[in-house]
Amino acid sequence: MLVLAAHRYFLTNKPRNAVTVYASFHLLLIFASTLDCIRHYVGILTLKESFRPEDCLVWIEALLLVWCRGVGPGLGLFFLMQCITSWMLAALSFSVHRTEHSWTEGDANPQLDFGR
Amino acid sequence: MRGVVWQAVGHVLAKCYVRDAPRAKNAAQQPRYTFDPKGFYCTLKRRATQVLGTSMKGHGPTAEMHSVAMTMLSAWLVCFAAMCLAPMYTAVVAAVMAATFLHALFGVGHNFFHQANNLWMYVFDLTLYTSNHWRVSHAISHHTYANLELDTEVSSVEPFMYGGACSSCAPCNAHALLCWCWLRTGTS
Repeated sequence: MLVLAAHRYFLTNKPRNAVTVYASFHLLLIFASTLDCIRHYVGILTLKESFRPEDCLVWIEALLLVWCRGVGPGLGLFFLMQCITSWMLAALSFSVHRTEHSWTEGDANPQLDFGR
Repeated sequence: MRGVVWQAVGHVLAKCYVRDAPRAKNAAQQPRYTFDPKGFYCTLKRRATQVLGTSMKGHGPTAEMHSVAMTMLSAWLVCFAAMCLAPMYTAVVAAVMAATFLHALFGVGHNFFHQANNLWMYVFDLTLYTSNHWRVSHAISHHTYANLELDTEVSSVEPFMYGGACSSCAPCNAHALLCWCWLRTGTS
């Protein structure tokens, strides 16, 4: 792990991002939803989570595309859509939602501020 | 919270009472919630129950919100149909457009899964994320401990990226700044 320290910091007492994260960040974002989906199905296989009716929605999407386009192009289009969404979610929503730039002192109009 | 009879819960908890928890040595280790009837948690719970127990008229999603959600879903369905049926080049363009609308539907699903069970929250499941899991991880972890170590949506990407709200998380902040400028330009 230390060999990679120039590119990645593995110690939690060094919470700084390396320069390479600017690039690898995007790769992580592109596959974030796919990784979460894999985590979900690993959870199902290990009986930690359950398969729910709404889980069928992505299967229906993928199967429709495979049925209309064939396996390769169908899955390609499916993952193109999902990976772009995953990137947009993280690069746009995640970042804006979570950093210090998103916090304010509250609404300037006291009647609209939280808690009123 | 709706459907829970807090008085009955109180009676059950009273049967399980052993003794008061010892006071922590410092304020940071103090329990977040206490059962003090005049404390924050019980006061919030009591007031929320009063609101939720009465008419919900005016508290649910507006007609505008429903129309936005319906527009996004329709736009995504049109793009998805093009992905299935149009020539390949058009299908690729449609996939990019579908991704944009799916991003919007993620937001719609997110807003609706914070409410009582409803059909709109399932548009979240059109992405590879699951509303059932996010309802717990996002509502409990992120909204309770936003941007702290206990926010699993931030800490789950460590050690590959540190996403906490601190000056050292440069990629996140740089992105946020760019997105903020872009949003401000678009909305002003």
